[in-house]
Amino acid sequence: MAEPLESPAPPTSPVRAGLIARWRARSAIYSPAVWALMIALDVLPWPWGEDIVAHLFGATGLLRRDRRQRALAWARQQPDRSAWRLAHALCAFLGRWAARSKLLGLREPDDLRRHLVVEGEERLDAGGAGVILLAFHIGPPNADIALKVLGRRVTSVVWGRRDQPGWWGPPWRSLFASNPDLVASGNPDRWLRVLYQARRILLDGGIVYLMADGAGRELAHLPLPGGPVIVRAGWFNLQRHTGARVLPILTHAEGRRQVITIHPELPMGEADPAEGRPRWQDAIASLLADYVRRFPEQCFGLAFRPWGRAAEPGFTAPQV
Amino acid sequence: MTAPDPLLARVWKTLADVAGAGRVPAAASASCPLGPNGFWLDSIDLMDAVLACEEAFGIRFEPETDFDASRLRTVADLVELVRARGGK
Repeated sequence: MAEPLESPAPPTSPVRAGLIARWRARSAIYSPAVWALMIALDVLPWPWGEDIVAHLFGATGLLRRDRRQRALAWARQQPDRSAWRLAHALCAFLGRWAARSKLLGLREPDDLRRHLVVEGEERLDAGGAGVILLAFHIGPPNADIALKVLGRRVTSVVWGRRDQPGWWGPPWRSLFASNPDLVASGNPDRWLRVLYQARRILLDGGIVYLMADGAGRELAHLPLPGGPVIVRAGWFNLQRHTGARVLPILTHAEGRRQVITIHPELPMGEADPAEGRPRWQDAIASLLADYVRRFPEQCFGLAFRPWGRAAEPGFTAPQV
Repeated sequence: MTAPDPLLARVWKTLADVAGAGRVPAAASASCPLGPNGFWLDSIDLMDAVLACEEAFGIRFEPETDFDASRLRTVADLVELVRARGGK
């Protein structure tokens, strides 16, 4: 009796395997529909895909009740602006942010480098101590990646992994490999390790980039038109343990350029950062108020507040 | 009858200093959780606690291996970690 033949596994073409890998690289904040769109549009040269995603988000944002209501509620608090026009621009910018977060259409670091402007970069080198770059969820994403592209060694403290296998090509992967993030992997239990490692980097004179308004213990509410910014405690604790200089970093889009501004050092207080609290709070509030006045359409993080909750077990960021 | 662990007593005091009077459990116990239903330490408190232990015991932790979440749930876990790093 003849032995049954084993049926060979169907061959997987490289294209199919690549698509599967790209699909599996989806971050939790992207809905499956948006992720499918991102995969399809990534074949286009920058900025075509980014523009298409922005237009789609602008149109669908006003059709989606929850997003429209949030955008309009925030837009109505901004003086001298048409609320509907601003709400539309906010929704479109959210799409641009979603596309830029994954560097849609940007094949390699040089593609991004050509469109970057950094103001105040000399402040990074002004003192011997470590530097905390304090960022906010406003403007284009990845100011830290932009600094890495420009040759700066910056260690980013992030909630979830950004260099998922299957999405970025070798030039981007090598940028991350040589300058890796500190990743909590979406697990609040990992923050201790991440914070401890960040502290060591600061004590060694390095640069640590982290979000002031992400997840974690609340430290301060800074009033702004449209609602307060909730500042979290992670960066403050790192400063307290290291004496690092704290430089707020804001970024905005100007046409095709991304302008990154590194602001002067926050006045943290010599002996006890808690004593300097009124001064650094005022300094941050002033910077953010100026940003909101100049670039309200880029304040998606304030309007939609997707990161407004604490990092508790089971926390998942809402999807775009 | 086993003698009380002096290392446990010192770690407990370090944790109590970090947590503050309002969050210290009534009875000292090795099985007391560091987080909910124990000292209620979040990641920022925990960093304060491990740095306080480093200073108190003259040790240095290794974050890659020592701060695995599954290894650091209770006071006993922290005591064993301090002991493993040479704390007495």
